[in-house]
Amino acid sequence: MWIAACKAEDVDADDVIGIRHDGVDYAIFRSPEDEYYATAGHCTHERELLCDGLVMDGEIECPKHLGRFNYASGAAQGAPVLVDLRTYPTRVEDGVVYLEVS
Amino acid sequence: MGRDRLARYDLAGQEGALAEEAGLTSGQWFRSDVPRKRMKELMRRSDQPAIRDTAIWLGLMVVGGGLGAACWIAGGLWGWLAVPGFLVYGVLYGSSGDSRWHESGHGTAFRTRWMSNAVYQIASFMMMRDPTVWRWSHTRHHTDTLIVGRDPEIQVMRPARLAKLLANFFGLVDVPFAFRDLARHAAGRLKADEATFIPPTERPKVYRTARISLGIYLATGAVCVLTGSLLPLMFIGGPRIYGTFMHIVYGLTQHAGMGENVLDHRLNTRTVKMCRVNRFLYWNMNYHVEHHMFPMIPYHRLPELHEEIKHDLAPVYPSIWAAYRELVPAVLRQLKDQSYYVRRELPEGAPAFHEGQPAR
Repeated sequence: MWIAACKAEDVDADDVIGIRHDGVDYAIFRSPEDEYYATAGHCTHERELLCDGLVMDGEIECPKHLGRFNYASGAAQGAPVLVDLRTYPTRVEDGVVYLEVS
Repeated sequence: MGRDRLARYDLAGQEGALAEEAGLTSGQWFRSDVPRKRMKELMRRSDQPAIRDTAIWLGLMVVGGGLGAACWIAGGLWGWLAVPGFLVYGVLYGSSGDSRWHESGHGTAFRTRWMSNAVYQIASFMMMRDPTVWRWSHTRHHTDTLIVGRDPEIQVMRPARLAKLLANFFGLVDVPFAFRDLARHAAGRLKADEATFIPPTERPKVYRTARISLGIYLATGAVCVLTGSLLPLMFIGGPRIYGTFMHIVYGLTQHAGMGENVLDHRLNTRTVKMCRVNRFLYWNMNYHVEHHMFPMIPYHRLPELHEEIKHDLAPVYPSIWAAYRELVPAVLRQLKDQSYYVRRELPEGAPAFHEGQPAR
């Protein structure tokens, strides 16, 4: 099921915002090349919202313990995060970012 | 009685489960409201400040160690000049190694990852800390700061182990225990409490590093025996004894005598004003409330973060002396009254303390 997540302009380039749908948190990323990505909203290490973290070099760094994930693939980049992040397909239509949630 | 109470701090004991039942573990801690745009500015990584500081740090060690060794070898009256030389070398190794370990462990000091990792490995060796064990230990310290039975880095318990605290100004407890742990890890084993926070996939790193470190110390000892001199020990290992006192002086200001089992760093952590020299040696960790509240801010931006959130914080301690004037009586009082802790007063208009619930 595709849902409208946010306006494309809501996310700065090379940054992230958090959204909540049906009680579930998601993180929406915009790369420096204006590509949009979506992942689970919380870190896999501990329940910390990733949207408060640092986006840098294609990675999101959790604000609590600074574990890093590749936000395009969800791949964990090393301790203290050892479990990959779930990712979701995105598309942009008429200035709106959609993501496919199951 | 004291021994029973200290058992509460055992990570493999019952207190951790009680804290979990009370909702104190992995809790939602108070954070000041800082606009995202400003936070992004403060979080931004840069290599330049840490490269500069690391060059000064290692450069001064070369100068101090060089002077110390030259005077040691010259002997006679010149030999006394080895004292200031090795004092500089030792404090930079055995005390500043702690703050370098800390900052590079968080990965915020440098923008370039390998630089952080290199400093982390060097500083971990200097402080006789296994880099993997202590990375996970410190991760837990940030998750459950001063939560009894969960935080492996509670330096001053209730009641405090005063003899141990005082002995550690010269590493007299930490160093023997570090060698015991090295031997255990080199044999491929962990302690029970370490097993509570180190995932199985990370454990082979612990064993490998311990074997390398042990090899370096054995080689240093062998050179001492072969040359009939303690000089090699003055450079490797020794500073963790003769130069480590400042890291204890700084470290005790962080949490000693403050509130346990609360979910608000304003209640369990101190921020202390320090002069430029101490801030260099300690890499700005005197801004400790700020660091715990926002661990992703690099050390060199913490003074700016302090300005951003100080309206939410209790007044800073104006000096190390001021912090000690409070913490020494508090720790002594806790020897008899373990329910006592230092309670700070927040400025008018600041959000109330987010205290959580006591586990007991």
